Amino acid sequence: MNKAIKVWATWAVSQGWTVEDTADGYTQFFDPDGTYIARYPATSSNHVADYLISRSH
Amino acid sequence: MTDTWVVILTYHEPADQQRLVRYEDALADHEAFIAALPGRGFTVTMHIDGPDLVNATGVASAIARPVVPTEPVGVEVWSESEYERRADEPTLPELVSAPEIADILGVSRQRVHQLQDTAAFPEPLYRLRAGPVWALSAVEHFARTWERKPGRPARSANAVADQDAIEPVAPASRVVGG
Repeated sequence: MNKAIKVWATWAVSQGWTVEDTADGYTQFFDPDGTYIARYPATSSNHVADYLISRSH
Repeated sequence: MTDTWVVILTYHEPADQQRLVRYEDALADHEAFIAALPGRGFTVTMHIDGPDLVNATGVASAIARPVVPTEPVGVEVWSESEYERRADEPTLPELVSAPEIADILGVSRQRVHQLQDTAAFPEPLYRLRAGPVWALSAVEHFARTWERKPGRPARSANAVADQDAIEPVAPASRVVGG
């Protein structure tokens, strides 16, 4: 898991989300209903704000 | 002058994980970020360099159009610095309960319960089984504008704690209104 998203992922899991690493290097996020929401690439570090903002929509 | 703009396009089109991943892969050259809006659709976020936000919106729309088959139903555009500031903003207001309000106002917890009956006291944001909670900003506003009646000086938090242990409940008619 990308270090930039690790804290956020830990918090998401504590809120009932499912977080999974994929074989092709992504971390996937599923909400408490099991619905896919987004994925975070292991090679990028500039999408943390995108995740945070997307949750306000 | 060129700035970086963050453009968020909102689509109301049902899309499962496979489709969203396919869109994201197709927009990988632009490092687009796609997030599902369960039951509604999804958003596409792109960081675009351009002279102004109108230009950036046009560029982002043109990039997305060949990939996403429907038109967006909404668009938000921010400068990258404003976007980062918003991302760092708390999504919930800071909350306080009666004991914290007692400390802020320098009164006993009992007094806080009495103050709830006054017109100027803010309404709670939530009423939990454990008790109501208020927005800190509303309580701070109340603290700034509250006109205390003479004869009952404000007390420190320590004094309040000591007195809470021994003070009988004051009749409401004596203290309501400050």
